Amino acid sequence: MRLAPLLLLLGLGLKASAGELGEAIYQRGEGAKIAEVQIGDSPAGAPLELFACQGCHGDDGRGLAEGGVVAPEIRWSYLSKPYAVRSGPFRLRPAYDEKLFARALREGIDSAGASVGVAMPRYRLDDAEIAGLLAYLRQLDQFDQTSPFGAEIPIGVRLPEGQGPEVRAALEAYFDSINRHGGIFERQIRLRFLEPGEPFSSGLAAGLDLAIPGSGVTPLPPADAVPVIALFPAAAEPEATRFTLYSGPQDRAAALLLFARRTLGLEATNIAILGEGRPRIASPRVVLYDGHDAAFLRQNLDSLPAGLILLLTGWLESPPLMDLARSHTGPVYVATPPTPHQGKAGLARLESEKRLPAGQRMVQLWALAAARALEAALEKAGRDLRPPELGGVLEGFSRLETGFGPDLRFSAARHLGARGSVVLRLGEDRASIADWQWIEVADE
Amino acid sequence: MLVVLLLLLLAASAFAKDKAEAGSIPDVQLLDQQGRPLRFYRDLVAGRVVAIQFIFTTCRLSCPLLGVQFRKLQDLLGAKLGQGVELISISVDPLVDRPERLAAWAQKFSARPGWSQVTGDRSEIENLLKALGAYTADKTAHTSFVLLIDAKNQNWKRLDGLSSAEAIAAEIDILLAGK
Repeated sequence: MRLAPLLLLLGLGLKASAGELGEAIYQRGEGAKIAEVQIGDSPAGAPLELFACQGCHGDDGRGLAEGGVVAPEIRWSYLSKPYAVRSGPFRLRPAYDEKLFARALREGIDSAGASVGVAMPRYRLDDAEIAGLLAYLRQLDQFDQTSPFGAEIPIGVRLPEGQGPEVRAALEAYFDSINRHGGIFERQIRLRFLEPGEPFSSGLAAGLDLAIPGSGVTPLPPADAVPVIALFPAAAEPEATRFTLYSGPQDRAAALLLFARRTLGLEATNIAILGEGRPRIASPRVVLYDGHDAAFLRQNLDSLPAGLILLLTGWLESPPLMDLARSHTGPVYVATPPTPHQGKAGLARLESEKRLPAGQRMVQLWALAAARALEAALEKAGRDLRPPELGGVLEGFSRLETGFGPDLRFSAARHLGARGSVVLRLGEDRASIADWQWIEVADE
Repeated sequence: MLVVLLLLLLAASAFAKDKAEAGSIPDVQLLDQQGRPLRFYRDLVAGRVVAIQFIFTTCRLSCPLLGVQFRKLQDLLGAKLGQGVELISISVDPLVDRPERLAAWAQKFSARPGWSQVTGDRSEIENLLKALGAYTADKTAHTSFVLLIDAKNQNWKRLDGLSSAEAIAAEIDILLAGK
């Protein structure tokens, strides 16, 4: 009588170790005595670790498709279905048993006696290793590996320095509204505001990096496993998991030139671009200054006829430049990141539910656009949300209307959502905005 | 009549040369796995027989298979590798695949000199992929074919990159013999 529980425990222990071996082979290509696979008819082997099962069949065994290759589901419940299942476009195959499974692995012959295809390597596994793998495929049936998140989706947020409280309030209002309406697939969004310098850790579903580069902000270490949506490009190398909403200052001059040509109808020969090494234009109609030095601009303007059209990029960042622009007698156009003019629709919707702080509206708006992009990605990722896949979901947005700024367009090759600049025309009173438009800059 | 035909032939051959060097294969600026800048046509293709595959280093399904096929192919090519025959792996994910990532990927497959892994500016890579008929908007839908180009004789062939390194080697030999 006392032996039975002991045997049961021993049995469980054996099963666990077989499953562990199977997991090592399946997930990492480790643990097998012969750590080599054979591809096609070639006798030369390839390292098993490059051909772990999960690479092709997914870490949950549900199969993947990529590069024209489709790897089927291989959870044991699927392989051993007691009826014929479709195998390829025109064939059916019967259920697998342990022997047929071993033959498929070692010889590349499926349960119907046909080749499993060139993409499936031959595995030189012994009986114990195959038994371990099979035990693990059974475990994949039992475990719900669809999403690591329970009732909450943790989102890391790095706030901008100086505008933290206003941005925090806007984000909380935004996600509070989502949570009150049932969350996303019944999960509540939980914002975790990071301490200064704290990285986006791997427990997070995603990150919002709302720091504004250039204001003494230190770049964070890469967050390979956590997709991050940032406001503007950082100086560091682009990362696979980092997405950026808007262009940095570098695209603003390009937008102003496009604006001058398209909207003002001017030729390049009419535009004097101020700066070191720039060619002098004899009698320009327009002066474009892509810098912050008001004294330099004043000096140049003094040598030119009064009343020229003035195009500026650094207006927002330089109060002296702002003052100079206000005293200029000709028309003044300034290129800026997306402004509250562009986000009216989204702001009005949010204002109807909750009052937002009055200050720092522009940065609030940028943060809300990032929040909306994240919400859209979480919705599209579905119930089976897993962080690494969220980046792929963002890459699938060929046009994402946020309502808080210009539409965003992402792809595998493009992680910058909206490339361009708002061009504002200062009103006659020099205190109001007379007109504005978004100028998109084409990819290089 | 003969003169007209000759003129046509001359025009056709001039066009073919122009097509290869300036049109069909853009001479884009790239970086190899060591971070060295190079021109795609001038430095890797001109005057050679090249086998080109399209990969990205975070790809787990077809790219390891493609890597293994090129590893076998470089063994089959022996002394011909780097001596008139080049193997080229072009990253379809240039934003992520910086040279150091490509070098690590190449090391997994014991790549030798004569097998280059290249990346570059996103727009340059896109232009190149479009010219080679291998562009896809989604990197996971990238092609698994191997493109053989005999630059001297203007001969292009597409082969299944997953099937057999021996078949690719045989086609390379045919192209070399045709020179």
